[in-house]
Amino acid sequence: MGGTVLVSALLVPVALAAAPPELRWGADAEGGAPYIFEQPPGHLRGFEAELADLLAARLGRTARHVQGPFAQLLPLLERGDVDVVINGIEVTDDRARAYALTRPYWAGPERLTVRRGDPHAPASLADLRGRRAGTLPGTLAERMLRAAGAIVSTYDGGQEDPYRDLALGRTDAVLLDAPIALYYGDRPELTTLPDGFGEIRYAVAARAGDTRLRDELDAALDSLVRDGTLPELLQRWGLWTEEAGRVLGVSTAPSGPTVELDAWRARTAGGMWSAGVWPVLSALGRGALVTLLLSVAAMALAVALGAALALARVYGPAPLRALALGYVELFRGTPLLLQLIVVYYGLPELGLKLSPLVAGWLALGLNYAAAEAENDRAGLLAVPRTQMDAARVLGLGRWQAIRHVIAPQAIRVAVPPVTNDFIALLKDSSLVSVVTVTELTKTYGTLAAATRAHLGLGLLVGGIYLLLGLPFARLSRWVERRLGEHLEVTR
Amino acid sequence: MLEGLSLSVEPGSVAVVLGSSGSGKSTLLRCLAGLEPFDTGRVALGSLEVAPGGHAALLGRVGMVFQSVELFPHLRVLENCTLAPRLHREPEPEREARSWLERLGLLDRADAWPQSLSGGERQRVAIARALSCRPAALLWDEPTSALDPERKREVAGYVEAVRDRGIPQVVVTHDAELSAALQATRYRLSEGRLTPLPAGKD
Repeated sequence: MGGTVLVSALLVPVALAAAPPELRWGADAEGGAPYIFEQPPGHLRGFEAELADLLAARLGRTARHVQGPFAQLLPLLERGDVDVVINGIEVTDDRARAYALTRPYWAGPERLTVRRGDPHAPASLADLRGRRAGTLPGTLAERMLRAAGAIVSTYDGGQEDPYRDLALGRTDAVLLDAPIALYYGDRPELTTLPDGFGEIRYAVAARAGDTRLRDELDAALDSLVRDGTLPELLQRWGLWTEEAGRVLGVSTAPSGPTVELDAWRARTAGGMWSAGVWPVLSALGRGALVTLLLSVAAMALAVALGAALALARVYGPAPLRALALGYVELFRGTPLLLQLIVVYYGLPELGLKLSPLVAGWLALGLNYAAAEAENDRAGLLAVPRTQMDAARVLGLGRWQAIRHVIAPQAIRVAVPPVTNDFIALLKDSSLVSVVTVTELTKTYGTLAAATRAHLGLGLLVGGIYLLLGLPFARLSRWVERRLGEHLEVTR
Repeated sequence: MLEGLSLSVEPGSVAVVLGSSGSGKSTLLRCLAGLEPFDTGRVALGSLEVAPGGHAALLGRVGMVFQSVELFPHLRVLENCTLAPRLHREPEPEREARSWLERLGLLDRADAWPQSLSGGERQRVAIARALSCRPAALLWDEPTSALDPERKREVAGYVEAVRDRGIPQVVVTHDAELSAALQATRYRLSEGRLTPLPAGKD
């Protein structure tokens, strides 16, 4: 009987392993339409999301999306967290050397967007000399703007921001890939010039050594072009261009309606609730839960490690004191973001590859341990040394004295700053989105990119952070009161 | 700090050490209590002999009433007295503590916080706390310095109460009045040297 149960338990993973392998593809859902975005929340859309599914199907595999910030997608590929990156990766000579790039699946021009009715609006790249122009960092558009002598502003926060600043008059023009101009540049205050500039091509990136996967993907792309699937896909998203026809080798333009572009335009006119109230709230709820659990777990690590560090610094022998001081200086003196990136992308070089959640938990916990150590140390030093003498004379051992006499008094002093730090950690936990964890702030960015309702969603998410922190502020006041009971009496 | 110093106290007797601040009084007391290491010499307590480096053996055996009293502010009066006996798994810690609190007139304050007590009451709790651990000797560090004049006179009574239990005591003070009120052998500590004073003279 027991033997049967054991055998069937062992069989399950074997059966799973026999299923077609996944094609893990990296893309940033916060980047937005038409590449990849969530609509409704939790449901991926975009022409690249469709392309990933199609490619995986032709390879006999299932596509699995891995969320990562745009700037970290290629590092994620090198780290082995994804098999390919499909996210508007422009073909350049440098990239073709560093990665195994497929044939292009799209090509088109950069487009220049200006303010409608601006008498001084630039009409060509030459007009941009000495003018302010916005674009996304690390793109062909940025290089073209710099070559034209423009004063360039680059935006990390998504595709909406350059156009918003242009509408507000902070820049005079925006040069970006035609798909972005089509989806985010169509504001009533703005107009996009009919003529494009230059040509960009998007390709799928695999690891440099992974030419076998690249060749399989090329074959799959060929078949998607031949049977008309890819041209039809680009047409539905309103992305068909002459250049695309040329690189794909398709002479007759597809003729179907641009349904996805039309749906996008209808939805973004509907504001933040356009996907429905429940999907938005449940997506934010999931993000808030990740933020809360991650923060509580990281704070638990920080408090435990911080207490050990503080005890080492106050009561430890000289070498241990120096070690604890070194730890505090190192983790307090370097940016949390750097620590997070080193833990996630750097440690694999030493053979330690952590999952995103564990890496985020560890980096936050290790960083905040330094702060908690200082809070605890202040608490320990606030207890007069003579209290230790009194406890020792009564025959208490060092640890007994710390545990029963010093710590209870020190904790009361440390509780308010520790609570303060927890609320700071709750906010800093948004940094873990750089290691592919989708918490509350990342959820906000994704929702905002899909609905273009930055203000409304921003206020809502700010409110959620406040609500998450409030119970802990109350808990802290209660603990402080309990531990300070003996101080409230008067003679 | 201290040298060429010899001090012997019999059970049930009291030694008063007079000295101004900086004379080495507190170093002497800390050595006797086991808080401070000493380089040469020895401390003997009943059948226990402590050589240099072994001072920690005195901890828990010698009681001390601190100048600054040092009650544990987060523990109630009774808990202050029972903490150490409880941790040492001594029999009936509460009964022993209550009996000392009763003798010192503090039984009705057993559940009070130290913060709510008067200066005199706090010192009596410190005495009860030290005695609840059944020490083999009791040290007093400037017991009258923090008290108002009429409370000062009571301290001699507490010393006498402890003497009745046959516990040897060392009282370090610069309070001549307290010294005069005690039936004791008197010494003067000055620049680390201890000199006996003739009987019947301060």
